[in-house]
Amino acid sequence: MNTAQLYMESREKRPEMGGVPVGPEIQRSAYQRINAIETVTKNLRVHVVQIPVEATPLPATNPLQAQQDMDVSKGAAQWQAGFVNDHRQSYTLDELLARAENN
Amino acid sequence: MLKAITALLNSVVDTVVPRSAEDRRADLYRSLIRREAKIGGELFGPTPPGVHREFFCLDENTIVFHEETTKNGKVAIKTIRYDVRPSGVLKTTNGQHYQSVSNEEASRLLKGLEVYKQRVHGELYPFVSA
Repeated sequence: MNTAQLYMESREKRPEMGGVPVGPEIQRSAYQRINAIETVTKNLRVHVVQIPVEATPLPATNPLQAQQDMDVSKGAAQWQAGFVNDHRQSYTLDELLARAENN
Repeated sequence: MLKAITALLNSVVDTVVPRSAEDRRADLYRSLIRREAKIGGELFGPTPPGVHREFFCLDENTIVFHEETTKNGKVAIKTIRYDVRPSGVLKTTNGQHYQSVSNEEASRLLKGLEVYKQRVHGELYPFVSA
């Protein structure tokens, strides 16, 4: 989708946005941001998926993909559960991500 | 909800001092990243007092985790930068030497990024089709 298409689509959505238009500058920047996030996610996924694919034959349903889908659907709220009773002041990112994975 | 998001985004534009069109676009882009970083910082749960945490996609190749901890008047800063390259994923902490990232860490980073993407899209850019 190019910027012009994006702008037109946003114009169409204006009524459901309460009549407050999102300016074209924001639309353009928002599209660039989403594009950057999509790209880095896609590139990272390549590295993550490669090793399990090479190490073990894939079953009919890819468990890694299923796990990812489940984690995404669980959302951030689930992540927070493990931190409620923990009073440590500092974590490494890997610790945070590992805890999120275990929740 | 959508009205609030639109007002928020438009307020971002209002805070950008108009100079050249290019500077204005760059300021706007940085403002959006700052708002994403705030959302990203919330992915890991509530922060203890004195802790400020951010997590965001800087560009197509870079993910950043930034945390500032203030204790007894001293501020400790930790910045982890992940570079996603065709040859692999590298990280550097506080600008020190690069090291490769294990597959497990990359997997967890990916899951974090997926949630970040979902939240940013829903909370900041709902007017853009996925």
